[in-house]
This record gives sequence, structure tokens and C-alpha cells, in this order.
Amino acid sequence: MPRLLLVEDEFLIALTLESDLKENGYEVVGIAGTADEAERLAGRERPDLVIMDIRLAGPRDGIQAALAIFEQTGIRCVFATAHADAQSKARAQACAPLAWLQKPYGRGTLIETVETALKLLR
Amino acid sequence: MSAHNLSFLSLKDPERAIREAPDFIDILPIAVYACDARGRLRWFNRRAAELWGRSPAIGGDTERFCGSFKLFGLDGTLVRREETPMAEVLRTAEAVHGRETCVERPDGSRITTMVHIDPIKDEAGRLIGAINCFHDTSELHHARSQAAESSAQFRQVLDALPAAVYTTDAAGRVTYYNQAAADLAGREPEIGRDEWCVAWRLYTPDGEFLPRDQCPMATALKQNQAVRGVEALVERPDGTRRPVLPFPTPLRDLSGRLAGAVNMLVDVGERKDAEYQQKLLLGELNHRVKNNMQMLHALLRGAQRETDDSHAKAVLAEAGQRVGAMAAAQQVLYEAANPTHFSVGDFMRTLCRNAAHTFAPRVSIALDTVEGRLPNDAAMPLALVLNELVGHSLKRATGEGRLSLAVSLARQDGQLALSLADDLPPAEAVTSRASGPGLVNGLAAQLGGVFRVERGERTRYIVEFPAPHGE
Repeated sequence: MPRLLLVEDEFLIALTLESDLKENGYEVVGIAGTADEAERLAGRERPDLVIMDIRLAGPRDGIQAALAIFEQTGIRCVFATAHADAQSKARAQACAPLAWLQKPYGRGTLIETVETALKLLR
Repeated sequence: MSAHNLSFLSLKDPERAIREAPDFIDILPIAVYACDARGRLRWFNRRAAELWGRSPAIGGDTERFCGSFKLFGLDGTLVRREETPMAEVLRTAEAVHGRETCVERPDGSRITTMVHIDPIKDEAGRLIGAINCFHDTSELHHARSQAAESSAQFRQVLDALPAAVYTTDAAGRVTYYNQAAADLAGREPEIGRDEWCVAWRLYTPDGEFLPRDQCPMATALKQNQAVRGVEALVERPDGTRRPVLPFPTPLRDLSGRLAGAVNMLVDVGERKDAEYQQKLLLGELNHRVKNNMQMLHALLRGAQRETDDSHAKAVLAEAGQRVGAMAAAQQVLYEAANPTHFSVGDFMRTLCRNAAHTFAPRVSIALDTVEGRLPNDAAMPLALVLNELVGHSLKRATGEGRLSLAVSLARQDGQLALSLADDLPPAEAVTSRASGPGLVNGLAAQLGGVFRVERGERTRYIVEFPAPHGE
């Protein structure tokens, strides 16, 4: 069963994300709301991939968290964001993003994106 | 030196030239008079009397050197008789040519004259007098001082302008700059030394170093034509940079030859700051709206999971689908490049992909759409219409088989038609106004159009509405 880490500071979105993923046969190893928490959970749980929101609570954003996680563990991210400008995409290049999931997204798009991302990892 | 030697006249009879005027002298349009070595007036012609406004006494000791009532320098100071150019020539035995003085007449009027005085020597080389030819240069003097005045006024205008202005000669050397130019450049330009531009350093808008001889002003001078619409970054000696829009324009003299150029540098920094702020605000708003849509969707999905009632589950699922369709539409709205209109093609593709995901694996959708742009107002009704029509097809399906739907957005005669075709018989009656065909009817009216059903080989649901003004 593929193991995923969710990084999302909006509780409601995180909740639905978790239930959609579980219903489709994925294991959610944790939900982080800040960059620090995301790094800690990624280091401890070693998920297959991280679904990373870019705007997070706290001083560091999702791209900084993703760069740190990639550097420490080699784990890659699917970025979920409402507004992915060219600058964000350029910053994220160094951690080899698996996909960009544009908010607002539905369950169908989420599942398809995660499946495609996992295929990339195999 | 040779000019002085040449100025020595060799007259056949120098004594006579001083003693008496030639008989044709009054015909000349120029004023002429002669003084002896002591400065006593020996003779003068008619024009001289006209310019002096008087006829001075001949041979007297009281009116030596000059026949004027009073004589002034161009600066307005009184010139005493012993200081006149004639007195100077008689003292030094050297000619004076082209000097200007101001003659005051007895009636108080003043004229400017230019004098040309030659010393006269006898055969032994002794100075015996001098002859003065002079003419009225008042008009010339007036025109010159007017030109100087208007040029000074013009400079005052340029100095007072809040926009940075400077000029160069045809070779590109700076000939003038105003205070605003010095302020913008953050330095005092060097007149006659700085070339092409008053800036310390120049960069292209991308931040690449721009050599001065390739700056817009240099281009304008080298190509002898105005340059417009090319931005540049001015770097000051303290390292700060300002974005400017230059307006270099060649200046041509009366014969049309390139005489130099004038450049105005408009600081567009503040405009840029405002543009940036607006972009930031729009981006923030866009982010919030999309994130809130995601939350609303999550909220409905959460409620759907909570309830055990199958009817409530179905109603919440449908509400979730509608929010999902609106959320999908939201994805293509508020692009940075065009916040008021959306791309129709991208919009239709996003909606159909969302519908296929939402109703997977029950439907497959073939899409045929026009491209172009529509105002944002049309987005939500169209997204909901499509969602309801797909949902309506599913409700009418009896088996569990996969439905193949054909969605199209077409333009015809100023109308747009959004249609969905399936292979199922149409429903009997419209029951609800909040869902299905009832909702589509209401949304079609909102778009200023009509909703109709066509039964042919396939069943076609069509919403036809006047095409809003795109772009």
C-alpha cells in the first residue's frame, strides 16, 4: 500500500484529502500543517511521496519544506496550490516535483495525479 | 599682427584726407568722420549727423574724439570722451575694428553702433589723425539680445520642469541638463564631457549592462530619428536603480542638418510599484477564492460522509458536484494576463475533464469547442449548465453501462450554443427548478438565452445565448 504524507494547513481540506486517499487504497502516514512538522514527519515516516501545499502556517513555505525534505531523504513531492506562479515553479525545480495539482481540484483529479506520480517513482 | 599692418592705409594725400571730406562722402549710407591727431573733429558726413542726431562744431577742443551727445558701453556705463575708441586709436596708433558702443542723442533716444577706426599717418610715419566709419547695429543688437533672452527663458522653463531633460550636440556630448536630470542620475553630469547619457550606468530592463553608446539616445543620434517605447534602468553612483522611459529626439537646424538631440527621461518607478502591488493583490485574492472553493467542496464531502441517510447522501453528493464544477471553472479565471476574461477553450476542457473525473467511470466525454475569450460573468452559469446536463444523462440511464456524451460549444450568427448529446430518450417532465433541466432553464435565462431539447438520432440538450462581448 503506497504511503503518503499530507502537508496542508487548512484542516477541512486535509480531512477530505485524507479520506479521499484512504478510500482509494492509500495509507496516509501523517498530516503536517507547518514546514518544520513536515520535515520531522518525512524523516520519521519515510513516505513514498508528499502532497505539499505551498502556503503553510509558520515562517517557511511548502517549497522550502520540500527542498529540505528532498535534500535530507530524497523524497519527492506533488505540489498542491491555488496559484503556482512561474517563480514558485522555478524555485521548486531543485527538488524534482512529481506533479502540480491546481486548487480547487476534485477527488478524480487528485487520485489520477497521485497514480501518475507513483508511476513516475517506479 | 599682420591684420594690424594691413589696417594701415596708404593714402596718396593723408593730410588732405584728414583736412577735408571727399566730395562724394554724403552719398555713402555709412557714417564717416575724421579727427586730427589731437582729436579735434575735422569733418563728418550726413549719415554721421543723422546717427548722432546733431551736428557737432568742427575744430573745437570741447567736443574731441566723438560727435555723440553722450556715449555708453553696451553694459550701460558712461564712456568719457578720453575713453572712446577714437581716443584709443589716436593714443595707440592702432586700428579698432568692429567695436560696439551705444550712442545717446540729444532727444534721449539711444542707438547701438559699430565703429571701425583707422589711424592715418603722414609720409614720415607720424600720426596725423584717424578716420571713423560707423553704422547703426541697433536692429541686429536687438535681435541678438532677444534671442539670448528667449534662450534664457527656454532654459528657465526646462530648469523648472519636474521631468529629467538634457540635450547633446550632434556628436552626443552633453550640452545641457536640468535639475531633475541631475536628481534622477544621482550626480552632476559633466557638460561637454559626458556622452550620450547623463546616467552613471545604464542597464536593460532585464538587468543587462547597456553600454552608453548603445543607449536609446545614442541610437536616436546615430539613426537621426526619435526612439520611443524602449525602457532602461538608470543606475546611480550609490547603486540604486530607477526604471526610466526615455524619449530621445533629434534636433535639426534650419537647413535640416542634425544639430544634436534632446532627451526626456520619465521615471516609471512609481507606476511599476503600483502595478506590482496590484498584481500582488490580485494574486492574493485569486489564491483565497480558489482555496475557499476547495474548503467548500471539502465541507460538503465531509457532510456526505457523515450522514447515513441515503437520500441526504445523494443530495449532498449533487451539491458537492455543483461546487466541484464551479471550482473547476474557477481554475481558469483570473489569469494574471487577463483578469476580466477567460479562455473559452481552456475553460471547456477543464470542465469536461472535471466532469469525467467526477462521474468516473460512468461517462466518457467528447468535446468540440470554439476558442477565444468570454467575460467572467458567463463562467459560473456555463459550468453549472454542463454539470446538470451530465448529471441528467446519468439519471436517465437505466443500466450500469458507460455513457458516451458529445459536448460542444459552437458560435453561430452572434449566438453561442452549449450542447450535450446522448443516446437516451428525453425525460418526461421537468420537476425541480433547483436541479436538472429546471436549473438549466433558469441558468439559460440568466445568460439571456433559451434552453431546448432536440430529438433526432441522438437527444440533444441545447442552451443558446447571445455571445457576450469577448475581446
